[in-house]
Amino acid sequence: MRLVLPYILQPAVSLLRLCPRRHAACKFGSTASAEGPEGLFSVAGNVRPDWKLQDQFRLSIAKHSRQTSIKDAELDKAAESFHEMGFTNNQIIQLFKIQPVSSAPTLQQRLAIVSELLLLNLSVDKTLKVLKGSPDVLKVMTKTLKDRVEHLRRLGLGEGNLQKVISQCPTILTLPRKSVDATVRLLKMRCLFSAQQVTEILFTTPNILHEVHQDLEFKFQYAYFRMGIKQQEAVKSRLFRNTITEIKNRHIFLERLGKYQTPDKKGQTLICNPKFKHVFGVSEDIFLTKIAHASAEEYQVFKMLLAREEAEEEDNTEGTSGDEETASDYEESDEEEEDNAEGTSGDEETDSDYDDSDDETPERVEP
Amino acid sequence: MALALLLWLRRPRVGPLRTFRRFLYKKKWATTLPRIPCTKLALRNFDMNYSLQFGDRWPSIRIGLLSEQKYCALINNFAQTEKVIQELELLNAKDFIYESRQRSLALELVIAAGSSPKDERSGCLDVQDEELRPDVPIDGDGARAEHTQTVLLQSSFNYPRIKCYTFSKGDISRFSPARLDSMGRLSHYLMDAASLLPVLALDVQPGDEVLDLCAAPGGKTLALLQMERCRHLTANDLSTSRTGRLHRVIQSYVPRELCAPGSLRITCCDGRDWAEEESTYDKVLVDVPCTTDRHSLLEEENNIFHKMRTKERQSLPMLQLELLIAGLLAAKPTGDVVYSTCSLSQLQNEYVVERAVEVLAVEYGVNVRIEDLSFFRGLFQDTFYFFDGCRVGELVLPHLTANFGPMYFCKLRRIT
Repeated sequence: MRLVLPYILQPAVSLLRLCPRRHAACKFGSTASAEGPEGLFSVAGNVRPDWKLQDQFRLSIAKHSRQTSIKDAELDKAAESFHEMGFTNNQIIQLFKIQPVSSAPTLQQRLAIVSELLLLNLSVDKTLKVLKGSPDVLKVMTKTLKDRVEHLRRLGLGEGNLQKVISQCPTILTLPRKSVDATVRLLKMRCLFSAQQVTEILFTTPNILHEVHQDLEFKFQYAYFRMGIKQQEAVKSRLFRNTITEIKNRHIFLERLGKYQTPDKKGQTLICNPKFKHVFGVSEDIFLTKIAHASAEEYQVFKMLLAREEAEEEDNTEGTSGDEETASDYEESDEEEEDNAEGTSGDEETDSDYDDSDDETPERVEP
Repeated sequence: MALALLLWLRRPRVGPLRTFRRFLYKKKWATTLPRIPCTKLALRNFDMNYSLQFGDRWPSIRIGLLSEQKYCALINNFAQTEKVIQELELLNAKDFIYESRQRSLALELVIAAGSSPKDERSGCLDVQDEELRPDVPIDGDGARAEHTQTVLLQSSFNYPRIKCYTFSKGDISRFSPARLDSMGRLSHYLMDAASLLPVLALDVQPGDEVLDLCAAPGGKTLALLQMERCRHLTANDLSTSRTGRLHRVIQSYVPRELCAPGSLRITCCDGRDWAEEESTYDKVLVDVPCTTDRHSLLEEENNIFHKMRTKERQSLPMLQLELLIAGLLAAKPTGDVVYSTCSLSQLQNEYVVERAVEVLAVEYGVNVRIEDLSFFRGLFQDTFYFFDGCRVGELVLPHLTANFGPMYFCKLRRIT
């Protein structure tokens, strides 16, 4: 039994030195620092798991895991360590149930990542939530994880903000540094956000790190050129939280209602535009009642119409412009179409041919 | 000589697509090109005028006008209809005229039974509809009498033999373009459903002499022909190209017997000079040229809001007035005239009608009465949104869920 101990203890001990012990949930650190490695056992002895519980742990872990041979002792040790970190039995079962998609992490890895997350000042609940939100975090090496967190810190996400971002968007921890860097570069170089603004964007809408760069840039360009939103306003209005369809829907809806105008180059409009944060930062209901003053039905119909319009526009740009004939069938509006006289007479001739054929079968005229 | 020959040989061959140098010109762009497109001018104009006229309702009309229009499929009774109707019903389209008749019949039955019926109507814009509502007060005899009267008015409205399919409110499906049947006639005609209302308001009786003063492009004329009630129909339009189009429409929808000169005449003259045969028609449809609000907002070509057409646009109400007067003079005493536009503007709608009544009384000694069409609102409120602020006539407003119109129509009866 003593033989298998060190590898469980190892991360725990290393944790000791780093743990700032800011939250009470980190019992592990406090007990361990007080009594040394021996103290662990005394605590573990108090909460000795009964066999039933161990079976449950085993069941929950075996469901997904391909490693069939986890020794009882190992499992025990792991469970104890989790206990010490402040997890309840139930939470440990939940924790064991979390499995990344392809590979199963070893118990050691699991323990290391969890302790790393706790070190970030996340509470037990939040840690569990983060892991549930993105099980792939369990696959990340401890060192890489530290590295990534450090990188996020360097981008300006200080204590408090960092925790919020991670619990809001847990998948951020699975992103390689390079891709985060690339997105930040895009925001800085192509969209001309300042470093401070980038930090704020990352804080408010960390999800953009997962977006395809072209889409992100298009979203910004739509807002900047089509709507006339400046960078600062884009940050404040939580613009990036919306999808591009949502942005377009709301913008064009307002524009056609006559409640939004793109400012000219001097920033002037004929009407008073609503604030962007009231347009994009609110739910659909509030947007409809407070800003657009329209019914939900109208908005639903409008969304469908706009989607169809855009799809057709794309078709047209692809170069399939064969619907001129159908368009002529739709004509009822009183447009003054000046056909040349030759064209009409020619058509009449062809039509009269039709009529000749009609005369041959006069019985079928009346339906 | 030889040199000339050489030059002639060296001259590049001129193909059908090649333009001669003398036809090439450099496009001017600096001063003469319009800075603001006509559609934008139109929008600005509407924003200014209609926001005053409609108030809070203008934004919803505006978005309707700027979004895609809805169509209805007018079934061609002269073609083989069964298959088309089947297809349309599969698409969940409904014959709105038939539906409204069923509903009003059901209403009558309820009234006849004397029970207080449930009010099933809701979500409509009109307020004046109250008089049509079937909630009969228990003690108010007068109200009951008035109510039965309106119901009678409804039932006296003679439903013509027109089948016209539309999608219900909120449904944005489209109709397929019309196809030829085995006789070479098109199965249905796609048009704005609101354009049918003036035709229905005309209420043509069998054996009537009918005049359509501004007929092209032919939707309303076709609807008139589909009724098969006119003894003789005269369709007139000013421009040759437009009557040509009318010809084509009619030829591809109507059998030749009905297009014979005995029953249909297509003329091409100025409607204002329709003095040749005064007081001869039972029904006259005056569908005047107007600012065509929807069209001017979407199409740059031939836009009436073009700078060069300002004079023409400003003189439109005058033209409309003259046309309406001509139409009223062409009608028999006791004959009906329906005036319609596809504009929202008061200047082109109510004012023209009121002014025409005035002018006729003063200058021609002809008395004209404006008929009440408010029962139309009750009948078709499930399909259209009506405006309740018209002094005379009815106005269909565009709305996203039922994007028909705009269409104004007003019925006038010549008394003397």
